[in-house]
Amino acid sequence: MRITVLGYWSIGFLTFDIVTDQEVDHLPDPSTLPGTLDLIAFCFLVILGNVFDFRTYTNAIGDPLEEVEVHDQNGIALEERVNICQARGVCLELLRWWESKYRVTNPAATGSSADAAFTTHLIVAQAATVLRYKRSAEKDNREGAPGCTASLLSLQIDNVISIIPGGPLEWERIHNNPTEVDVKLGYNADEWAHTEIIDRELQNFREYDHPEASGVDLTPL
Amino acid sequence: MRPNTLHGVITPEACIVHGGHFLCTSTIQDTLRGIVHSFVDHAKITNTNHPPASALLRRMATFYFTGLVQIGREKFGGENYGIGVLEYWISYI
Repeated sequence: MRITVLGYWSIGFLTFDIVTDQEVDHLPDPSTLPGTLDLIAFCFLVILGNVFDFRTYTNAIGDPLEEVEVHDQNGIALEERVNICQARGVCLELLRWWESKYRVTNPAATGSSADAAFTTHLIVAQAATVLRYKRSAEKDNREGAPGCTASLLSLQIDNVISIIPGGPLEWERIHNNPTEVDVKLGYNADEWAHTEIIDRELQNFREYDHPEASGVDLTPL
Repeated sequence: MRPNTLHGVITPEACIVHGGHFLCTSTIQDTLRGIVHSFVDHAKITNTNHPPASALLRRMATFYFTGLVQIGREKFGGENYGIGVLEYWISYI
């Protein structure tokens, strides 16, 4: 309950804090391709926040987790874990809002398939790139976050992908087409010169559900 | 200096170096690359693990959501702001 109240307060205070033009300039412009890609890159970092946190792979005293059991406790304190979950939800809502308001022209040029929302595709594709990078580093005996192996990383990514609408289907699709996995980190708008962001028909994003998100066609018969 | 920029510190004599980091919307792509490189190649790179930075990212998520979704980017600035913000119940807290 306290955390919920704190969340409302933080939004309330933030609402009053971001009153100046200088501060609004720190918001990405989601109606442009570079702004959209910045927003998605940011959401990627937050949604996979615990994945990139070194403490995920260690216990409370900083030793690497040797075996991951169902009820193992890692080095992230419970309160922070709740904060991570809340922030992940905020970013998933941000992406849903974007999908309800905008769409891309020429989605095929971005590697998107018709089976997944644009934002879902980019988040999942980037996660696949990170996993590929980790596997490559492991082959070269390059050590990353203590205790983190490619298999543990895969497990953590699987957990996160499973809660992204349409994520598991897209993850499976990319998994079955490994040649589609990019080697470059981040999203480069220059590579998608013929892609633009255009408005969707105005709708209430809270009622919006991307038809591909659940893998079920929601179009009325 | 942008995120994910290869750099080193050279001083004419032994020093204690003090510095800081910040997150910037316009360079968030480089932040992503930097975080992933630090995570995957931790042993070769210094300055890789910053748990407090994840809290900053989470605060930015609230900032983005409030600015983009609850208020709307177009409603900022000038006289519109005061009217626009009162359209949302959260403003009355």
